[in-house]
Order: sequence, then C-alpha cells, then structure tokens
Amino acid sequence: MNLETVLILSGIIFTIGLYGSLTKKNSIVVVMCLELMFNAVAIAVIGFSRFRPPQVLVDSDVLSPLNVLSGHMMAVFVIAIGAAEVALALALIISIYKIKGNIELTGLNNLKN
Amino acid sequence: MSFQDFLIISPEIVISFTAISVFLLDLFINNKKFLVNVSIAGLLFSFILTLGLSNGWLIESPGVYAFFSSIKLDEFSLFFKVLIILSGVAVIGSSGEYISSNIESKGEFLGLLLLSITGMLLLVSSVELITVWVSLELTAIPLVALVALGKNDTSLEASLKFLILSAVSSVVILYGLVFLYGYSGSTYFNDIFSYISSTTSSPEDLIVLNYGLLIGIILLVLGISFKLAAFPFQMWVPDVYQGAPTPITAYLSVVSKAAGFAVLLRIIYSVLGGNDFSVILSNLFSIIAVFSMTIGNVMALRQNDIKRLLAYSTIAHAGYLLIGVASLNISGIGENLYSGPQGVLYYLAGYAFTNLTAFLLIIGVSKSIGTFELSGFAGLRKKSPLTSFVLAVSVISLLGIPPTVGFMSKIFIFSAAVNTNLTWLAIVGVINSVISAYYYLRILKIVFVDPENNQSEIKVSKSISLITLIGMIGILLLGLFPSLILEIAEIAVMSIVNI
Amino acid sequence: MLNNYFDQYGIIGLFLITATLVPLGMLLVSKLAQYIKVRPHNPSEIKEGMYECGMRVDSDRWQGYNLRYYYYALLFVIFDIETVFLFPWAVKYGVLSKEFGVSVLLAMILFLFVVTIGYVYAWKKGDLQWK
Repeated sequence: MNLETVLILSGIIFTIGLYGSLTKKNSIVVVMCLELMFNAVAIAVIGFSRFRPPQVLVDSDVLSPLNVLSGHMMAVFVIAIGAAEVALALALIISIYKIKGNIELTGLNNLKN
Repeated sequence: MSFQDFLIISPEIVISFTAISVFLLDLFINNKKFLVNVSIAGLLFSFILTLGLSNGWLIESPGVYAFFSSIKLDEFSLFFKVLIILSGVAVIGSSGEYISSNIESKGEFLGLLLLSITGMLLLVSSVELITVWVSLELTAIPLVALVALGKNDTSLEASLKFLILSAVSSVVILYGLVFLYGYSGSTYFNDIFSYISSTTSSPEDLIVLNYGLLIGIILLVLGISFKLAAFPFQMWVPDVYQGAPTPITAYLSVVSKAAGFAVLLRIIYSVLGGNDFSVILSNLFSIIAVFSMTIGNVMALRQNDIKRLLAYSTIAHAGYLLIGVASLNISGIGENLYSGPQGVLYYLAGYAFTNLTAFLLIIGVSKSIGTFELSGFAGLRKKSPLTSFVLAVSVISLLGIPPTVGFMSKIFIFSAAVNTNLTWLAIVGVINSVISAYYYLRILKIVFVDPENNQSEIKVSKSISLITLIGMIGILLLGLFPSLILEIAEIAVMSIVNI
Repeated sequence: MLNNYFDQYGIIGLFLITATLVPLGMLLVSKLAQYIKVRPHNPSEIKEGMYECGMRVDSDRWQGYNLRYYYYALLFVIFDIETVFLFPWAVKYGVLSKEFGVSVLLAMILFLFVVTIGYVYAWKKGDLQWK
C-alpha cells in the first residue's frame, strides 16, 4: 500500500459522491453522497499524513508534535463538521417532508425563472 | 496560549458570546426587540475592540500571531473585520421591523447571524488550513439555517438547494486544502510558502509536487467560487437570493462575498507568493471572471423580480472583482505592484455601501408595496422622492457612473488589469458594464418615469432610512475621495504579501 | 514474515469454519431430534410468522416511522459526535497538561459548556418531549 492507492481510492469515492450529489433525485440519497465525499477527503488526508509526513519545517515557531499530527487533526474536524452538515440537511428534509409529504428534489420548483 | 492570544480574537469572542446569550435570552424573554438591541450592542462592542486592536490600545501593533500561529492579526484582517462588523450592524440594525413581522424564530435568526459573522471574522484572520476550513464552515452552516427561517415555503426549498451546493463546494475546498497540505507537508501558510519557494528536491519530485499543488489550487479556486457567487458555482444565487429573507440576501451578497475574496487573496499572496503558479492562476481567474460577468449581465436582462435581478448583478460584480484578482503582477517589477488586490479591497468596501443601501431600501419599500416585482416600484418618485433618490444613487453606483464609488472602483480594477497586460480582460469588463446599463437604467426608468399603478403609501422605517442615508453619503464620499480607502487598502495588501 | 501474514488469515479461516458449523450443527441436531420423537412438530401461523419481540406482526416493514424518532436521532448524532473531540483530549491529557498547564482543562470545560447550552436549548424548546 502506498500513497497512490490511497489517493486513487479517495478519488473514486469522491467522484461517486460528487456525481450522486449533483444528479440524484431523492434528497436522502444526495445527503448520503455528501457524506461519501466527506469520507473520501478524510481518507485522502489520513493517507497524506501517513505516507508523506511533514518535511523539514523551514520557518516555524510551532510545536513539532502538533504539526506532525495535523493531518489526523484535520480528519477529526472533517468527521465532526461533516456530521453537523448532515444533521442540518436531515433537519431541513424533515421540515420539507412535513410540508410537502415527500422528499423528492424534483418537487422543489416553486422558485421561478 | 497567553492572555494576548485571547485579546487578539476578542472581537470574535464577544460576538460569539453575544450569539449564545441571544439564544438563551430568547428562551426566557418575550420582548424580542430587546434581542435586536443586545445583538447590536455586542457588534458595536466588538467594533470598538477591533478599533482598539488596530490603534494599538490593546496590543502593541498589528502583525502578530495567536494560538500556535494559526491566527494572524494584520492590517488585512482588520480591514475586513471592520467591513464585516459594520455590514453586520447595518443588516441587523435595519431589519428589526422585518424580523418582528416576517420571521417566526427571532432569537434563532439573530443568534445564527451573529455566529456566521463570527465565522467570517475568524476566516479573514486565519493563516492555517484547518482553521480556514473550520471557520468557513462556521460561516456556511448558520447561513443555510438562516435561509430556511423565512415564512414563505420557498425558503425551505432555497435552503435545501443552498445546503447541497454549499456542502459540495466546501468539500471541494477541503479537497483542495488537503492537497496543499499533503504535498507541502504543513498546514501553516508560512510553511507552505517556504516549502514551495525554497524547494531543493530532485526534478522528478518537483513535477509531482507541482501537479499535486496545482490540483489542490484549482479545486480550492473552484470551491471558493461558490462563496464569491462566481462561475462555475453560480447557479444557486438567484434561487437562494429570491427565497431567502431579504436581510439575509443583503448579508449574503456583501459579507459572504467579502470574506470569500479575503481568503482567496490571502491564499494567493501569502501561500503562493510570486512563483510560477501565478501565470496559471491569472489565466484561471480571467476565465472565471469573463464567464461570471457575461452570465450575470445577460441573465439579468430579462428578470422582473428585483431580488433575482440583483442576484444576477451580484454574479456580474463577482466577475469584475475577479478581474482585480487576476491582475497578478507576474514579473514582480514596476510601480503599482499590487494595484489589483488594492482595487479589489476598494471595490469591496464600495460594493458593501452600494449593495447594502440597495437591498435595505428594497426591504423597506417592498414592505409597503407588498411585492418584489419590478412593476411594483413604478411611480416611486411621486410617492417618496427621498427614497427614490437614494435608490437611484445606489443603482448608479452599481452601474458605475461618476461621482459614485462604483465608478471609481471599476476604474481601479480595469486600470490594474491594463497594468498587468490583461487589456483584453479590461475591454471585456467595459463591454459588460455597457450591457449592464440596460437593466440598471430600466430600474431607474420604472422608478422615475413610469406612472404609478397602485396607491399604496410608502413608509420606510426610521432605522432603514438612517442607515441607507449613511450608505448614500458613503457612496458619494468614497467616490469623490477614493484615497480614504485606497491608502488603507495598500497597507492591508502589503501586510499579507510573502516575498 | 509472509508465513506469519498467512497464519493470521488461517486463524480467521478457523474462526469462520467454527462460526458456520456451530449453528448448522444445532439445526441438524434439532432436525434429528424430530425423527426420534423428542421434538414435537405441530406448526401454527404464529410460529411460522416473523419474530418481532414476541409481538404479533401487524404490517410490512416498509411503513413510515413517527417523525419524532428522527428528531431524537438528529440530537443523538449531534451530541454523539462531540466524543470525537473528547477522546484524543482524554488520551493525551497528561502530556498536554504538562505542556500547557490548567488551560487544557479549561478549554475542554469551555467546549462542554457550549455543548451544554445546546442541550439546554433543545430541552427548553421541548425537543426532548414525546408529544
């Protein structure tokens, strides 16, 4: 296993998520695709952190152990914020379901051009 | 962490605590007018703190780092902090009446708006990738909820669209940041800059490094185009602007855009500096600018809803601003090295005055006439001469006719483009300004020439009148004396440049 | 090294075989017990039906759930994800507190304070009530 395989895996998952989130009609599926994209990025950042550890830091007054782990920290934040985003999306979908009775994105065309 | 670290982010701390106390007070207090006052008091207090930071009352001088070098307080961030806080005061101060009649969850509205402002303040001063992304999300997530808070059922629809595109764009930005981190090995702007500019690897390594960084930068720019309301992520703008509560529309069009440009400029000048990426970036921005201007102006021609029209005009203005971003001085020699970003800062300040005046007037007028259709504004001159005069000044400034700030800022942007051998881009910009004259002048014709078609009386609340009058004075003052902002803008830009 | 690697798969393989054989064997023993008349065989409708906590099944499984469940699920997700920040902090508390002193503890208290405000908000808004 090396950096390329991790990046390819992450790229594939990211593309699936991007495609799904822009084309699917069911809003729950779209939210799942968003979550896929978040996780693809988390995979990439962990891969980078594992296989390309920080080089010699040229100009830094920063604690080195924090700097070494910054990839992992980024992954933690990605997980947390991804969850917040998805929770907000689900809350919105519930509100829309209460009003319209369905969660299809195609039904959302009240804003006119 | 020392006490000075907390002093440096004291404006953000004050606003976020105001937001939390607004949430809590909302649960126990019935007088919602009080909440508006609390929010404005919090914003004004943090404005005073920002002034204190810039004048050296609280810290020795700007240009200091805080929290393990992840936040930098410099003239650039102070410029944007003042801009954002004042716009926030204008939006909240003038929307008291709107909130009491059109918004059901009043406490949530104010609290989320304050949280979003906190995010923007952090965003403009962060110099570390994780901090940048987290504050970006702190601005975006409350905004999604804010768009959903309107009473009409189009709000929810607009909000879901906004959420999906906002999430996609922030993931794309994140992917870009991850590539920047991965190939440079650090999340700190200064480290990335030093690594890029002083790399001593073998040629093969250098190619890999460059491709990795290039992918990262392109993803980053594409994702940020969502925040700027520019091509290729511009399709959310009209729907969201129309569906959102109008104060939020004003906030989105001014503050969100300013914060987006702030982070873009900081990444270009602090992270990339003056190396080979500049050429590619300049081309990329030119393309985005041309598409944004043209799409915005052409689509605005046939709009009848004033919020939709201004939404397309916002896309066009993002295009003009991107001309200034594209005007990177690649050679690094000559006199006006940073006239491009300087023009962008001046343009943003002027645009804040202009667009806030226009949108806040629309809030006031549409409440009386009960519609956002352009035809509803017919005969406004007879009903309320002062209102229509202020509206006219702001529309003229959007179009770019002297003596307004819109004219001067377009002059600076276009001349910066000419200075950096992008004359064709300046010409495209001028042609687009001519196209935009059609729909801006149409607003003026409807307001001043058309006979009135309804008898509704125009009553604009005192706070809106006061704030839009200040806005109009600002438009004229900055248009006549551009040096007021330009000198500050120059210092601000110099503070982020890494050479 | 490589041998060792495949040995580990061997353990998983053994585990899989055991996990398959045990339930199969139990079913087989039960079936055999039927032939020597130890196990009675008189099927009824309830016995053939799906098992749902001992209750009688009264609808398909693709029926809508009460929206309330989703509100709880959302609140759960929000509060659950805070653990992701608590866990690394708790593991490295000793190292961090040597470096930065009491401010490490204060930072987490501040974080939990904000989370608690969210909880108070949800409570006061009546989102924790089943109505």
